[in-house]
Amino acid sequence: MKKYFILLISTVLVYNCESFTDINLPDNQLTGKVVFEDVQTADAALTHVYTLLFSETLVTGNQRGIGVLMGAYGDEQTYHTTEGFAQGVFFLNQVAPNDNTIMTLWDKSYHAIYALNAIIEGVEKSNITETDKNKLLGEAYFTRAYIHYFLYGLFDEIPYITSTDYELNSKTGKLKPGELIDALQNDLERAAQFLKNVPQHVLKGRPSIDAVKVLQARTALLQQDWDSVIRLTSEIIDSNHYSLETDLNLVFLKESTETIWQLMAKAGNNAMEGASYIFTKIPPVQSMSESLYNSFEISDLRKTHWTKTLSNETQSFTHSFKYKYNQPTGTSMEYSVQLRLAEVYLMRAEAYIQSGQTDMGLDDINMIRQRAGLENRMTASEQTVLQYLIEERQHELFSEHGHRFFDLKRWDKLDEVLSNVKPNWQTAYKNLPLPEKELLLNPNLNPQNNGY
Amino acid sequence: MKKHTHHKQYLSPVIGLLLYLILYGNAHAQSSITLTGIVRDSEAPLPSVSVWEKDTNNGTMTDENGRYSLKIKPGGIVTFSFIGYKTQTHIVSGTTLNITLQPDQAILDEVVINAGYYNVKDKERTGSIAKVTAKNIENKASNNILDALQGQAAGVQVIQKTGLAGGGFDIQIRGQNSLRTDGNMPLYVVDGMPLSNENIHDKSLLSASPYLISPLNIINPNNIESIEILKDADATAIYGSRGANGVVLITTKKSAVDGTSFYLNSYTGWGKITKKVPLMKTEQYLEMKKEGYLNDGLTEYRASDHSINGNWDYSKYTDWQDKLIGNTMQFHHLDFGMRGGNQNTNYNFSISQHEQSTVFIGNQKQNNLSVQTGLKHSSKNDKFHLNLSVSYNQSKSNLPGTDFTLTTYSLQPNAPELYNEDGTLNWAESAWTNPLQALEQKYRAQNDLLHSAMMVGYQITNNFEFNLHAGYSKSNINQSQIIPHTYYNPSYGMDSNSSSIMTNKGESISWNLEPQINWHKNWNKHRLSALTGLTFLHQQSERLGIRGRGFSSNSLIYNIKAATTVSILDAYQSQYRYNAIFGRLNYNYGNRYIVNLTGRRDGSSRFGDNNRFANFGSVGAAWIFTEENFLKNNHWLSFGKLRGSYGTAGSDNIGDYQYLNTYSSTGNVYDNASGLKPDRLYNPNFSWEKTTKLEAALELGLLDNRINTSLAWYKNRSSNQLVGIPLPGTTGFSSVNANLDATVENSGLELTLNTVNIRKGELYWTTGFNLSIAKNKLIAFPDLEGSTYANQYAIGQPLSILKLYHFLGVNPQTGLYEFEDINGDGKLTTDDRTTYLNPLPQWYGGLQNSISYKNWELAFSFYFAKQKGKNYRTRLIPGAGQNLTMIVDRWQKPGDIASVQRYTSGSNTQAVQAHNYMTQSDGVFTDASYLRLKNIELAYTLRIPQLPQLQCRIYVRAENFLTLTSYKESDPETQLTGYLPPLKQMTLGTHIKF
Repeated sequence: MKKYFILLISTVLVYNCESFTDINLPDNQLTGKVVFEDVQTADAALTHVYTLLFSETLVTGNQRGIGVLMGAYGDEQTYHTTEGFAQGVFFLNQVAPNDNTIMTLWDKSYHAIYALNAIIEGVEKSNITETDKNKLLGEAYFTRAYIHYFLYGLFDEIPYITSTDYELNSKTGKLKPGELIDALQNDLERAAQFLKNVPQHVLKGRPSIDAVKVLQARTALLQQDWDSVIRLTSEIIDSNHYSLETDLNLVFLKESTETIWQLMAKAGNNAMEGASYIFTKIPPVQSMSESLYNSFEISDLRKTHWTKTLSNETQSFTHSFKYKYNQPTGTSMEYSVQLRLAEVYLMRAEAYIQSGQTDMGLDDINMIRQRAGLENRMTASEQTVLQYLIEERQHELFSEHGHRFFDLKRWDKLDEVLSNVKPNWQTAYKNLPLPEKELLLNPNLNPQNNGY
Repeated sequence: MKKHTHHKQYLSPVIGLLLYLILYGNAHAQSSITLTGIVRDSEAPLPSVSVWEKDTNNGTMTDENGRYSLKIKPGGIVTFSFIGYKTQTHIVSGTTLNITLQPDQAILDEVVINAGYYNVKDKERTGSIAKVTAKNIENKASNNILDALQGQAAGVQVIQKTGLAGGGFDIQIRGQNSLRTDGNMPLYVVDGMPLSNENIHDKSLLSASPYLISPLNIINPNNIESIEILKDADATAIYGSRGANGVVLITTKKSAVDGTSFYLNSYTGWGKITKKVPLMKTEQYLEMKKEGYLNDGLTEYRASDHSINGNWDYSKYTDWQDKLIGNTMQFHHLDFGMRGGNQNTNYNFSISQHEQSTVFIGNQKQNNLSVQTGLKHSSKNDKFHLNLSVSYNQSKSNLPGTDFTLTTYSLQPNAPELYNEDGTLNWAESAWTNPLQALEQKYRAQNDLLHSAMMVGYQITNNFEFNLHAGYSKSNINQSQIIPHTYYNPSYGMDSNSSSIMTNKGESISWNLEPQINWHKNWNKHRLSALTGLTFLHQQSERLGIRGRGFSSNSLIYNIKAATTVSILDAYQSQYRYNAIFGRLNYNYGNRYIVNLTGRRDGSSRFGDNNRFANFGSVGAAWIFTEENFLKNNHWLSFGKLRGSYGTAGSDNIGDYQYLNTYSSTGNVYDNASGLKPDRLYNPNFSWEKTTKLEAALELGLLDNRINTSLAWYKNRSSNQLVGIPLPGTTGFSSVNANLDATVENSGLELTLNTVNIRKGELYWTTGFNLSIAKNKLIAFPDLEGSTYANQYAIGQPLSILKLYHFLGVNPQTGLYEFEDINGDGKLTTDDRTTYLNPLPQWYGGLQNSISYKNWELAFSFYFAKQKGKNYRTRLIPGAGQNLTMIVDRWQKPGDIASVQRYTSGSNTQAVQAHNYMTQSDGVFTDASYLRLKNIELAYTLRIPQLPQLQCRIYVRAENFLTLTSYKESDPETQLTGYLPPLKQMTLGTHIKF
């Protein structure tokens, strides 16, 4: 009896034990290796990053994106109620190191970077075709640079992450601005190599070689490398791939001819910017700042086409109206424009002016002014023309990914402009605080930015 | 106790019955006799003892002198029962039957402990196992098993995190072993079948509860026979990789009587919060705000500061705690059961319903339904045994999605009315966020748990027995939360196109199969027993979260098909398989020396191929020194045992698939293709977490076991820490799973004391006391300074410590909080956070008393804890928002000595900064120790001499009625967390048995 049972049990044991605990992956998961052996799934890993950028973090058009946040932090947006809104502290310039919005923005941006690094590492080892590899790698390198570019703008010294190795990344240090620019350029050059023969996406939903050039030009602007700016922007303008829309109402539609790169919305949805800025009842939580609204020239078509004012007997409030749709529509109408030709003209204008070619600069400025129904600026001193440029950028690029704030920061004009309109403003606030949690978890990121 | 009755103690009623058959079986027959006698205990005659003829209505009670007389047929069966004593059954043979009843609790010998895979006499156990019996679980109104455990067993720490029905309890057995805060859950086993710990809830849908809802919450405590808590290595090693955090064995009620009986238990009760937070009244509040502006040199009040800028009525006052969390919670409970059978087969069945509302404004309820059946069968030759129990529990609730408690802390006392005159929500021209918007955001949940367990056993030979435990358990959850557009301020101009619904459906299924062989052999004074068995456990779970947004009308909101956009929030599937072989070898010499060896080898699908299997084992030993000749006849020491154990147990409580690098679909479409996201940073090499446990204990029974006490000392060390090592965001994720070569030590002393204080006549008074002193220490942590934990832990300190700034006081000149600049660099940085503080209890325990006199019973229990908690300084910036009244002791002018800094409207950045430092300093901690009368019950049992089987017990209970503490801010248990404090409750009920 005893033997029989022991035999039975040991049979069961030997037969079953080792294999019993082998389990299959659930149907909705794939291992990392499999993902990059197929161009479809590898591409799905990449589109995931675009979705993150479209709807979750950094350049997203929703309230967590830098368009809204830095608009409020700078001089574009006014909050009428700050309590209970995460953006309130941005408007009040009271962003603390333990602020949740900052932490989420940081974490999610680096999460996207991780996903890109995993793609780069996976695709490099993969056996898919060279053509497919070029496209995936080019887009991944570009997007990695694009995210780092904004993080640098927000936080100044930051780590530049180029691997998935968490042991390395958890102890990483910050790069100095010069080193960061090098890293950006490095990635962008590689992106340019990979993308040079990749055709533009029909709906410009993928970054192309021209997108790389725009970001290269922006980087060159930071370095005051005017020649490079002029070369890169001229290449884009002269390519004739893009043209300024003559009707301002068409600029942010998904078929806009001046869009160089845009993030696509899900079918039937629209860019999130519409819902973020548009309000239909007053008083709203936030509206366009008076200083911005009042700075438009009276006949500026951008004031009539790109802003909208709601009033009652006593009050009136204005919102940005670049994006017209705050609800889903049958077919998507607007995607989130990341890069567009108007900015390219203005970058070239700035480079011309700074390198002493003010008239050439004025021509580019006037391209933009003509489209806005304004008279041409006449030639003037370099100082005045530069002032024209500053105003033009403010009026053309408002409410788009914090252009205004980053411009003022680049020109070292934050104190001059913001101390008039923002009572809590301090010079040190040009950089946001690094998330406190990051400093705790990785002391190599010390010191905290000044002022926090 | 008289010597000659001694041997009878050891005999079960069945054997007693047999004995009488043999001794008196030849008695001659008569038609009807009058049986008389005296019933007494070891000291005196017992009045009011029920004496009745079995299975009839024929019965009586003993008089003041313990005498009875009953007309009965010879050969009939007569039963003697009295509360606090063991019931005796006798076959009538003569006309006189004198009975000596044995006290129930003092018979240590008879208490059998369920150790999971085997049973052991309490006297002979080598491990550390605490037992809580039905009596101590039933008389609680909370309808929650974990709540019933608080203060009942040494080493078991239960903290109630919210007073919400079905809300969160945090339980830890002998402290935190794992660095992972969610890796310290004990293993729960109900009737031999483990409860799945798979998380199928979506916590975000019910933010009012700080914890995931444990399936344990919906098991009806009235169906529980006993709960055993296994603590040391000897008891837990046989649970191997799941035993490190202790094992909680729950045994449901089984039938064990002949004949048929019914019971009906019904109670109803009311509850209110134990304590309000002392918040400012309008006058005080306005004074504070004005002073804040004045201090900041501001003359104009901000447009957003409606409370003082003239927008709101200065004379208005609302006690928001009364308004929002001041309702009276009500509960109703109805329990019906029947049990019956014969010697070979018996059954039990019960059905209960429990309905409970909340103290929140609005109409929220939780409704629990529980059905339980059990069947027990043994063959005539007693060789075959079957034991089956099936329970079905359902909980439905529409608890609020938001806990209003936190809201009440911050609302201005002169904030507007909640409702307009027409009954709509008052948004006061967008000047505030109406807190009742949360009521629009309706939460609904239904939770089902089917739990079944079966045991079949066959006695193969005298020495061999084969058992098979099998179980099947299925748990379902169906949750939804709607956010209709009416949730938002109407001035946003939203319509039902903005309305949304989030749903979560989850299912978890598990089965368990455990064949087992038991063997034992006795010769001379030697007793050897062994068992071995296998475990096959399979768990699978899935979860689907959906959001629908945009409806043509809010009336369609529960119809997801009507949504304009539908997105999948979460689609999760997982599988867990677990496999083990376990064994036990027990040797007993003359009931004096006992050695117990247990071990387990197990494998879990949660680990990669190289690390799938691991071994655990323990050795335990006991010496019952009162069995030695030199102590055998000692008149005051009735029982004495020394025991000790050493061994290992582990933890695989880390979630499934964590060792794999996987991608899963996001469901988000971009450019017509659905995205794939990387799931985690992966590490294919992590393995088990091991806890080495050492324990020594002394157990004593004094004065005829009227005093039983035990003192246990333990030291557990957990190493190979399986942690999600927190990582900076730059890694792309917040953590990675890995084994960290760190060691955590939990040591402590546990004292229990059970006494029979008075047992005289009809007065019976017992007391139980337990005290746990626990110490948690991080022993080793390689390269702590350079690790991601550098700012969280310190060697030699508990894991729960907080590193804080040291608060120096309010500077009499500047009026600002000041903190010690430890490194003297002129700045306050994380380097200056060198003050360590442990917010967990240093010691805790419970005291239970039970007194019965005639038909009256009084039971009460206390719970106490020595701990620190956050005080009033932790709340909002003084001057800037609604605050506790204690902050009025503030600095006003240079030279003032105050406990709170100067008020500010919020624009004094230095003051704001100082307050931020304050919240991270030791200045926000105060003593929050407390002693609480957790529970008191007074009951009267109505007995009718003509109907001895009918018992009607009428009881009144009060819960949390008295709390002694120096902590003034709030309830010392939930403190200022913003979760609902525990409720004080009053219950009235009747329990009828017939």
